[in-house]
Order: sequence, then C-alpha cells, then structure tokens
Amino acid sequence: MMTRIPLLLIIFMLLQACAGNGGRLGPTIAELESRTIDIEPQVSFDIDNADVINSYRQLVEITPRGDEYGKELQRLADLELEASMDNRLSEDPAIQDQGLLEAKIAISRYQQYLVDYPNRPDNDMVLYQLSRAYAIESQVDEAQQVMDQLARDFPQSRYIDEVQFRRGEYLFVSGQYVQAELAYAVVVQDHEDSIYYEKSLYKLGWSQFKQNQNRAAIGSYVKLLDRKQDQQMLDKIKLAENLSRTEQELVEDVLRVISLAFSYLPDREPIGQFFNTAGQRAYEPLLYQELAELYLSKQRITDAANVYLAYGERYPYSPFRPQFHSQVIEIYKGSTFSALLLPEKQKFVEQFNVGTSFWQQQNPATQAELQPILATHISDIATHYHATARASKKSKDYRVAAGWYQLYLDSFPQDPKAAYMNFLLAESRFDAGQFALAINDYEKTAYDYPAHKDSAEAGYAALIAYDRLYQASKKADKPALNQRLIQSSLRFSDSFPNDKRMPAVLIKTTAQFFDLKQYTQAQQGAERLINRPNTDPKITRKAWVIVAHSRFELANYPNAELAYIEVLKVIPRQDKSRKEIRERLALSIYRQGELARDSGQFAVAAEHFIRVGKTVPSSPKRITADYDAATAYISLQDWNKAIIQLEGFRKKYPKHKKWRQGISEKLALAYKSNGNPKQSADEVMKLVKIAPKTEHKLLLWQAAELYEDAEQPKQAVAIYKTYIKKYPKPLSQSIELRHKISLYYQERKDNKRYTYWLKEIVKADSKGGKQRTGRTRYLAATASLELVEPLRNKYYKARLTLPLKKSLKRKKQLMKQSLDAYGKAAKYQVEEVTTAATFEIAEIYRDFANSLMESDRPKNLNEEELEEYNYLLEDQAYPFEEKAISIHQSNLVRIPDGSYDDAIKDSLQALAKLMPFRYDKNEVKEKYVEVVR
Amino acid sequence: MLKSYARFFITWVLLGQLLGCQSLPTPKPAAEPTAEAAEPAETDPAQSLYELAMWSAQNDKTDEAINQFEQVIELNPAFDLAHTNLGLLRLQKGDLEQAKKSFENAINQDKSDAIAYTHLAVIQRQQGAFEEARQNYQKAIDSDDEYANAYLNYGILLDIYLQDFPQALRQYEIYQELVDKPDETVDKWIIDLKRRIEAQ
Repeated sequence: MMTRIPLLLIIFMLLQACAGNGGRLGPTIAELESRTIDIEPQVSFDIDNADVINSYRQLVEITPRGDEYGKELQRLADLELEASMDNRLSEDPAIQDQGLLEAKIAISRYQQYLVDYPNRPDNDMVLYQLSRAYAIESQVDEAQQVMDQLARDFPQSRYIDEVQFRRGEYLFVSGQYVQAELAYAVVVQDHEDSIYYEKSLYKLGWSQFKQNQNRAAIGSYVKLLDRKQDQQMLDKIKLAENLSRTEQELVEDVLRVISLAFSYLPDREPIGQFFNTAGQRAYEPLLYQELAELYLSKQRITDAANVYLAYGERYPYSPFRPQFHSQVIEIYKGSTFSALLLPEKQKFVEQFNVGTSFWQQQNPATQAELQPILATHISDIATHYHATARASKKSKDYRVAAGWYQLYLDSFPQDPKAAYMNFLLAESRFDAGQFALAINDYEKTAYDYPAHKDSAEAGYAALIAYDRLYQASKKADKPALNQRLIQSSLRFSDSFPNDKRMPAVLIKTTAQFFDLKQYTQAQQGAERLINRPNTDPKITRKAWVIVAHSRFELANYPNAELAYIEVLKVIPRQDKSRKEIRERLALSIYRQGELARDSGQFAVAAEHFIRVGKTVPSSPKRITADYDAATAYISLQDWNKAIIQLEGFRKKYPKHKKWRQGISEKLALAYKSNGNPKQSADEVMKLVKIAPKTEHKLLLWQAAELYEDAEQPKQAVAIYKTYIKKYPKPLSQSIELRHKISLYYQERKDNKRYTYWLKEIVKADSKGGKQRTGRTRYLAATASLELVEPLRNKYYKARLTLPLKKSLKRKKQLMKQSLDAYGKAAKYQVEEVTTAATFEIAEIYRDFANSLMESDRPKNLNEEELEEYNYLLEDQAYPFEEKAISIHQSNLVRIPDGSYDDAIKDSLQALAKLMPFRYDKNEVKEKYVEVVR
Repeated sequence: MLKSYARFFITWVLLGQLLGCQSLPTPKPAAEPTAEAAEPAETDPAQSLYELAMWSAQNDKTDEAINQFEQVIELNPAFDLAHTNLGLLRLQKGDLEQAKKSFENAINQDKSDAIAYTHLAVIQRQQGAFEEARQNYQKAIDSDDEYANAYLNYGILLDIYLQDFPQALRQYEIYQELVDKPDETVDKWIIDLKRRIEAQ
C-alpha cells in the first residue's frame, strides 16, 4: 500500500496538470506542420517522465481489464506520447529514435484502447491524441484519417475547431482546396471565439482564392480585416504601429492577397463595386493603395493610376484623395507616361487648390499637408510653362507661365517661396511684354517680402521694365511714368544701398529730378551718393555737380559755393566743363551778395561781391560784382569804402565804357556824402562828358551846386555861365543863375562884372515876354536898383562948388539920371524895390536941398549979401526938402496897407529928422513894475 | 524902508541856503539888523526871490534880475508879476522874442495885466505886427483904463503907423487927461494932428 500512494499521487498530479491546460497534452499539429501558426508552449513537468511512465506501465500490467484499466492505459499512452514528443525534439539521434519508438508504443496503446473501448463518449480525446502520435511518427495520412474520424464521429468535440483547422491545413497543403475550405469554414462559422478562428478565416480566404473564388476570398479577407480594425490593428491607410511581427505579416499577407483578388476581378473599379455592396469600410484607402501598389509592382502604370484616381471619384472630398493623386503623379514621373505628368498636376491643382470646394471641406491639418504639395505642383507647372516659353519665346506662352505663377501667389501668399515665385512671375510678365504688370510684380518682389536673394535683382529689373514701358508709352503718359520710375529708383536705392548698381540708378534718378526741376530731391539723392563709400569716382563727380547745381537752383548759394568748390576738386584739369563750373561758383557767391543786399545786409553783400573776383578772378561776373560791391557800400553809406572800391574799379577796368557813367555817378554821390563836394563835382563834370545830352542840364546844375558847396565859386560860376548859354529857358532859372553870378562878382567886389550881370538880369527879364514871372521881375527890379547905386553915389559925391553953375549943372544932371533910374526900378512894381526907390528918390531930393545949403558961397559976397544969399538958398532948398518929405511920406502911407520894410523904416527915420514934431515919437516903456503888497 | 531892507536881508540869507549858488547882492546902505530881523522868515521862497529880483531891477542889475525872475518863475510859474518884470527887463536888453514870451506868459496868468498888454503891443509894433499891437493896446485899456502909457503908446501906433489920426488924437487926449501934468510935447502932437485932420 505504501508503494502505491506516491504513484497515485503522481497520477493525480498529472491529471491536475492536464486539467490546468485545458486538457491538452503535448505540442499541437501546427507545431509540426505550419510555421505560420503559433501554438502555445506545453506545460513542462518537473517530475521525470520516465519514472512516471514506468510507474504507469507497471500499473497497466497489474491492473485487470475493465474501465480502470482503460483509463490507466490512456494515461500511459498520453505519457509516452509526451515523452516521445520531448525526445523527438532532442538533438541526440539516439534519443530521437527513442522518441519514435515511444510514439509507436503510444499509437499502439491508443489503437488498443479504441479496440477495447470503441464506444466511449470521450474517445474524441483518444482520437485527438492518436492523431498527434501519428503526426510525430510522420504518418500524416494516418493522422488525417484519425482526424477525419474524429470530425465525423465527434462534430461537437471540444477539439473540433483545432481538428477542423488541422484538417484544413492538411487539405490545403495537399491542394484539396474545396475540402480545406469546408474544414476552415467549420471553424469560421461555428467557432468565432476559437484561437483558430482568424487563422481559419485567413486560410479560408486562401482556399477560396486558390479556387479563383475571388469575391468569396475578398469577403473572407474583408471579414478578417474588419476584425483587425476592431482590434485597432488597422488605420485607414496603414497598419497600426504596435503590431507584433506575426500579426503584421498576417495582415500584410491578407492585404496582398485581397489586392490580388481585386486585381483578378473583371470590374472597372472592383474595390468600389465590392464595397458598394458590402458597405463602406474605413480602411478602403488602404485597399486602394495596396491594389495600386500591386499594379505598380507589375508595371501596370495606368491601372495603378486608375486605382488611385478611382478612389478620388468614389470619395471626392476624402483627405486621402490628393495623396493618391500625388501618387498618380509620382507614378507618371519617370515612366513612359511622363507626358501625362503635367496634365495630371494641373488636374491636381484644379481639384485641390486653395479655394476649391475640396479645399474648403478640409480641416486645417489636411490643408496644411496639402499646401506644400499644391505649391510644388503649381511651381512645377509654372516652371514647365516658363521653360516652354523661353524655348518658344512667344508672349502667349509667357503669359501662361505667368498665370501659373500668379496662381501660386494667390494660393500661397505667405509661402516661403512666394518671393521667388513672384520674381518669376515678374520675369514672365516682362518677357510677355506686359511691362506694366511686370513692374508691379518686380516691385512687389523687391519690396513687399522680407529680404531675399532676388530682392535687389527684382528691384533693378523693375527699373528696366519701367524703361521698356516708357519707350512704348504714349507721350502724354510719359511724365507720370517717369515719376513712377523715379520713385522706384529711389526705392531701389533706399532698399539696396550696397548693391553695386545702386549708384548708377541713383545718379540717373537724381539727374531726372534735376531735369524736372525737383531740386530738393535731386540734391538729396546726389548727397547720398557723395557720402556713399566705394562709389565709382565718375558717379561721385556727377553727384557733386548735381548737388551743386541743385543747391544753386534752390537758392542755397552758400552750400552751392561749397559744392562747386568740391566739383572743381574732382573734375580733371582738362575737362571742358570746368569753365562753366567756375562761372557757377562765381555766380553762387554773387547771388549770396544779392540776397544779403536784398535783405538790407549791405556789408555782408559787399564782402560777397568782392569775393567773386577773389575766388574766380576770370569770371565775367566779376565786373558786375565789383560794381555791386561799391553799390552796397553806398547803400551802407560807407563812403570811404565805396570810394576805394569805385576808384579801384575805374583803374581795374579802364576800357569798360559801360560802367563809366555809373562809376562817376556813384563816386559823385560818395564824394558828396563823404564831405568832398569838390571831388563830387569833378565826377559830375566827368559825367557831363559821357552822359547823354538829355542829362547834361541836370548834371551841370548839380556840378555847379557842388562847386558852390565846395566853396569853389569860380567853377560854379563858370558852369552857370555855360548853363545860361545852353539853357536860356526857362527864363526864371536863367535869370536866377545870372543873379547868382552877379552875387559872386559882388562878393568879389568885381564891380565891372557885377554890373554886367545885373544888366544881364535886367536885359533878360526885359526880353522875357510871357516867361517873365514875379521872381524875374523882382530880380530885375532889384538889379535895376543896384545898377543905380554907382550913379547915385556919383550924384552924392558931386558937390556944389564954384563955379556953381557948372557944378550945379552936373549935379542936376546926375540927379536927373538917378531919379530916372530909380523911377525905372520903381516901375517894376516890386514893392520892396518901389519903397527902396522911393526912399532913394526922397533922399536925393533931401541931399539936393542939403547940397544947396552946403554949396560953396561966392567968395566976393559981403556979410549982408551973404545973408541974402543964404536966404535965397533956403528958398531954393525948401521945395526940395518938401519934396523929400512928401516922397518919404508916400512910403509911410503904405504902412496901413501892411507894408513895413526897411525902406519904409528908413523913410520914417528920415522923416523923424525932417519933421521931428510929427514923426520922432517913441513909446513909453516901464523899467519895472512894483506892486506894494 | 528900514523894515523892507531887514526883510530882504533875512530872505536873502534863507535863499542862500535854499538855492546855494546865489551871488551876494550888494545891498544899498542899510541899517544894522534890528530885533525885527529875528522875526520868522516868509515861507514862500518864490516871493522872497521875487523881492530879491525886484531889488536887482531897481538897482539896474538887469542881468541878475533877469536870472532871478527866471528862478522865481521856475519856483512858481504862476507868478504873473515875475513874468511881467522879466518881460520888461528883456525888452530893455533888446531881446524882443523872449520879452514877448514873458508878456504872453504874464497875460496867461493875469488877463488884466495892462502893462503886459501894452509892452507886448510895443514889441509887435516894432516887428510890424500893427494889427496885433492895436488889439493889445485895446486890451490894455480895457484892463486898466487909467494906465496912461497905454493910451500914449496906442496913440503913436494909430498916428504914425495905422495913420488913423482921429483915433490917435483921442488917445493922446486921454493920456493928457490921465497924467498928473499934461505933457507939452504931446500937446504939440495934438495940435499937429488936429491941423492934419482939418487939412484932410
């Protein structure tokens, strides 16, 4: 008893172990025949099999036949089969042989069992083990037969899924596809949860495929793929990434076969048609792709392309559509169908481009994926047409290319290549002769994008396009176009200051500004060139010229001067333009003088004018400048400097008659103002020689006055005499001059000439006729009065001496002459002269009375006779005295009428002596006034 | 008289302090200062200076008097008699224009200053402004119909210059009536005038 307990225990343990493994024992058939199927590893026993087997053999030998014996026999067979399988796996040939032997023993034991117990309900298990044993013995047919028996007798066996699968495998391998299909179908139909389900499904498809039952095979595979999709092993267009190698190989094989199956279908669009019936699947794109790749692997280019395109037709808004279309394009690329490449790209663009209904239905991620593809295609198309155009040189071809470039830009304005595409667009426009459009695109390329390698090139090309457009433009449009060109040129210069073409562009622009009289812009542009390092000296020189001229035109003369100096530094000595520049330099300085003068800064003006000659001695403007310097000094009333300048001018330019008159005029003024009337007068006399005759009259007059101011009466009088001769009219002036001359001689006590000129006055007045005026009469009257004076003096000197008769006669004669002369003077009816003449006449009468009384007495008279003689004389004198009183009184009568001149006063004084009681009356005057308070 | 000199002396001392630069006049012999000299001084410096100027004028110190009257007027421009006396002194000096201004100033201060009118008229007569002279004589007479010299001078103007003998005669006659003792020369003038009037 003690020896059996451990054995039973071992058996129990084995049973338990088998039960824990689902009742399975040893490796499956699949391990032996198919590498494509994984079988779970069998449970290993820690107990030495040999010992267990020996124990069971002993048990079987001692156990009487019956039910218990059958069980022990089955166990023993199972253990031996197990051992056989282990030993078969050994590398030791002896042990392998041992394994075979053990298998044979197991087979015999199972066969015995079946004989002994043919109807036991669990014989399916024995059959199952028997088939395994045959398999170990490589008795495949026997094994198959046992499995056929099992399938037939035990359809509900718990081993039926594996058995049917094994049968299918055996049948498939042996080319019995119909039977195989049936075996697989059992598993597929009834054992969806079996581990052999998917394998069976897979092999079912194959079995069907082998029978050319493509649609059935596709159906099976779709079923399998549906399952894989449920297991998340499939994406729409690819496999899941975390698949095991086995799973991956399985699915890939399925896809390969299903593609084959589809490819064998006669339908135009087999996938679409299949799923129209079977219902849409998410992984359809994967199938389309697999099928296309299948075709492609067989160089069936068109078929592959059609598969891709078919998908698009089936799913117009699928995000995979553009991808497949791109595949079509890829297929055509480099193939014999490359001619289809361009049209296909165009279709691609037409169908998927930005703005299409397709594009609008895509999510941003898809759009983002699509964008670079579209961009590439449009770019390719545009490039193609551009190349075509370059070959044909036809405008229409360039326009086609431009259209595609434009499409690119419209679709992807923010694309990194947009600037370059824009440049190519501009180039196409240009080559198409669309210069206006080309300009826009060149400028956009140059200035509307962040800086790129073609920026400067585009900017410059725009200028060339402007040039071409300008040449082709109507005259009326040219000015505006030129303005645009200028602006573009400036933009180019501003944007690409370091471009080697910039100086040439900018100098041209500045020159245009200058031609358009836009001097500020011209100056600014040219100054930029001047300040730009490493600029071509020729351009720098032109820039200096423009700067100088512009500053000049802008009336910025100080800076123009500086610029002209710079220009002269850079212009070669032999350059013909130097003369003109020098003259401009002179003019710049001269203009500074003008401006200073016009603003009243005469000192500054004079300095500038003088600088003209110092800076540019050869300038024709120098003469004017020197002259104007003098004028400025005159305006400044700096007479000394004016005189120095004018005298210097005269010496410097002795032959320039043009200036003579002006110089003399100014010198005359300067000298006069400087207190040198003599020199001034001399200048005026010089003027008389050179000035027009019409001015002589005034000049002579001025000269005479100046000589008078200079106390040079002799010269003045000489001029007056000339003046009187040359200009006898107007009478008043002529007589006035005679009067002046007379005064001159009177002062010099040259009575002879004085008298002459007094007579001249009287004579001129007397001949004056209607030209006579009050003044001429006055002067003539006073002259007449003066002319009487010598005669009157002679009268007064004439004393009545003995012989009285003779002296009396002479005095009377002189008296008469004097009275007549005064009478004539009085006739001028010049009151002053009249009263004076009246006074003189009265005094002549009084003198005569006095002369009579003071006359020499005859020497021979005695005292009495003498007294008598005196009475007689008194009687003789009295009437003359009365006459004198009466005439003096006639002067006094004028007083109530408002006359009270010196002559009247003299008459009053005379009367005061002649009739003191009547006329010697004087007012009483207080010495002071004192009021007693 | 003694009182007058005492007042003058005190005034002079005070003015010397006041004006600082006045030259010391040589007073006419005067009595020694009495107790009266200790009386409080007049407070009107113009009046005091005026009195000093009057003293100068009375003593034929014409230039000093002119200077002093000018200072009086500076102190008190409204001092009419100062203007009048300044005019008289300037007239004596032959400075007709300045004298004329003084008389005009005097008249401005006192529209009834017959002396000023009269002497202004004298100057105007000398300058030939007979009508203005006539008007001022008339104003002098209107201001003071007892100022005899106005009539006499007016008569001369009318007689010799305006030759209105009847009016001249009337002025001479009024003059003769006003003066204490009729002037013999003027009597002759009256006789001559009457004869000439009759002869017309």
